[in-house]
Amino acid sequence: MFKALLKKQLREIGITFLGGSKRSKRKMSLTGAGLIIFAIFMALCFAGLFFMLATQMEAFIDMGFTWMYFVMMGGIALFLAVIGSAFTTFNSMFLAKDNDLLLSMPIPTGTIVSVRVIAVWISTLIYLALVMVPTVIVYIGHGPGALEAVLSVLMIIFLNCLATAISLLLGWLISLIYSRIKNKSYIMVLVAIAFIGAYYYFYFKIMNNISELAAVAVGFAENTAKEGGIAALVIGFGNGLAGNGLPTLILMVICAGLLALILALMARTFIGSMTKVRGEKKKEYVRSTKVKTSGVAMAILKKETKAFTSNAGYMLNSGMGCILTVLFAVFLVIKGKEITVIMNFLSTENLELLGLVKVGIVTAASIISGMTIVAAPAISLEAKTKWLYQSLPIDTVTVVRQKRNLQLILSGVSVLVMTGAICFLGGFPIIDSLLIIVAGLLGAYLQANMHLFIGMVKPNFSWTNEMQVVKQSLAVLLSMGFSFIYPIACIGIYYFFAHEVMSALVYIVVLSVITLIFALLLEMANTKKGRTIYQEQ
Amino acid sequence: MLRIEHLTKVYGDKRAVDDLTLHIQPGEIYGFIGHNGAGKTTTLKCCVGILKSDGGEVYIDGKSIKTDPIGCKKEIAYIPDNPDIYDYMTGIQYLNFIADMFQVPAAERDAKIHSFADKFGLTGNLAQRVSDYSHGMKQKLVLISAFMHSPRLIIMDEPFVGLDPAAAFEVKEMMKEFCAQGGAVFFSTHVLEVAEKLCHKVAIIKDGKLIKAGTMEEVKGDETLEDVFMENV
Repeated sequence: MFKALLKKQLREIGITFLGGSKRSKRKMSLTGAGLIIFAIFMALCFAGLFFMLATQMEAFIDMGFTWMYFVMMGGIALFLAVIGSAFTTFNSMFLAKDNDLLLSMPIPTGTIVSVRVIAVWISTLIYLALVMVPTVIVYIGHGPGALEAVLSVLMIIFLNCLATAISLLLGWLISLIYSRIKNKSYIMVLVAIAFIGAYYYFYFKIMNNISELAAVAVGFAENTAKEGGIAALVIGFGNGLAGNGLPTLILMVICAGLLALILALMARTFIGSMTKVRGEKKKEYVRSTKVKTSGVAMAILKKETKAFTSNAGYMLNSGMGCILTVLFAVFLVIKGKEITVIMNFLSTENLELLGLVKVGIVTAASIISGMTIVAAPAISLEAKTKWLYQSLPIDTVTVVRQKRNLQLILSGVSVLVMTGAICFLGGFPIIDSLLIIVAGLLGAYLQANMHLFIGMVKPNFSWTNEMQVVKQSLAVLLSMGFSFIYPIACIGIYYFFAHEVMSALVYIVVLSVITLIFALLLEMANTKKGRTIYQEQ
Repeated sequence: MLRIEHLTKVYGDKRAVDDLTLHIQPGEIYGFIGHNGAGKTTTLKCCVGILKSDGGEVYIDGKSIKTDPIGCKKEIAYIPDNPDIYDYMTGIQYLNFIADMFQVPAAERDAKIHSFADKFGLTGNLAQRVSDYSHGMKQKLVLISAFMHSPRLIIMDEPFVGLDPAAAFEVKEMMKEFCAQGGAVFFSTHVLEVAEKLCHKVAIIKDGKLIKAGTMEEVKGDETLEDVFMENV
């Protein structure tokens, strides 16, 4: 029974990545191979960033504070894994569409919960490994003993048990407050933004103050020698991750024990928690004196907006570009003057670098806009309701365009805020500013069209949990890849070749024209594909 | 009103609908019966334009669903067997959304929404999110949305499933009233007693092929519809 359920759960993950099952095995395996290569590429990109961080933090190992190195890196890994999985946990545990079916069968609740927990465990492991694998590689590079090296690798698995336990706890807490708060999706997004903000604050603090942290490490070490307490726990955590004998054994027992405890608690309370997340207090219907009517396109755009804003997980995962814009606005408030000083310096001392910065702003705007991935999952999210669009007297091109437009509005505002603010603070001439802003907006237009195209080419209409589509689907992964690859290629071409033959502004104009042509070609392809996307064969 | 001419739909090797021909006139309630997997839902979906047929034609008020799908859909209301609708909307938001799709004027939609919602006892629930609706409530909501744009043909797939007796009675009355005003209803059902009492005409389908069709008297003669059904499928 457990095996069959696990197989079903893993198949769901597979279908989420590879799409529906109506394709030939050969095509599926080709897609699978392509996906694996792409996933490895994306993982290497992200892991590379954390590898760089680990190489900066290895100073702690050199100073003899290996525990501090693991406390910092392990803490970041835990944070990333928990934040990355908390909403998926809530959705996959309590809102899965097949919960009722499984509970109606003679399957012990513990078995259902265990299988769901394994899916969460896999999800957290992906995030955790992005940080911990480079962390351990850098550590092993310092030549610890063989046993310590092996144990530090093994501890990734146990640390993931801790991450899973915390994710489950958070998912359970979300389920408790879910039905009790108004505007739940907005509140959850705000809480998550606060967490992400804290994470970035913490991250930049680390980068800027490694020497201060070393002093903290010494203080902690002295403190634990005198008194024990929290300092001893922190040091024990670090030593445990470093594979140091007894602390490692204790940490293993704590991580595995905590997960087992949470698992047992969830198995006991699963049905109650699942029931709580359903239903709201009944709202009184008040007959409105004025009915608002909309045109077809506007009505669909409103409906898409409603779908987006009613789901915190959807907003958080697909609206990351907007969230980063909010964080960027906060950053500008804090660092605005410094930007002005830097740009003034560059405009008098280093025009070549200033040109690169201008192209960089356009590129960054394109990446930020590409991190708003609304259109790609929106196609698949219609799975259960596509009969409506099939039976209504509308051209489905209108439908897919509104999905694209929602993304364009969200990312366009982000780009406008970001490029406008930098151009203003940098004191750029009006022409330069206009070119940068227009190029940024064209980048957003291209990204939105590309995401829609990918969403239509790789739809998944057989999901059991919305978050699978929003977070783990092939369409989202490919969109994310394009969001980075295209802008990086653009700045790469300028940096390595184009800056020698043209100025930054001419390059931005050329880039804008190419981006526009590319986007219009995609618009045409989307129009053609959009007519048949919801048509069953 | 609805002309199905030699309709054929093939899934792989299986002919789900095989050379089906049916004509439904204005004012008729036409029942469509058959065993599970006989091809009823496939036929209805082809009529609405959800599925592409592999052969034959479907005409709605003289317009082909293949060449003028949007023109045809303006005349139709479709009620599926499983009312999967937007969970994140409230009942009233859903009805307004459908009214916007058919461009129903404000005053007309307001009057219709409240008249039908009152009939189904759903007015008090219109501010609730659809995710909190029961299957029957969702079915009622879809039924209300179907009548809002004054269609000329209503195509229903198992419309009575999940409805309480009072709502089922209301639906039957609405179907009769709708047909009395010149509309046509084509619906599939497994409830033979309902079909026998409600329908002017009935068609029996087996393995995609039409077995019998005609007025209720022509199809059942002196027997009950259940007897005829059991003899033929």
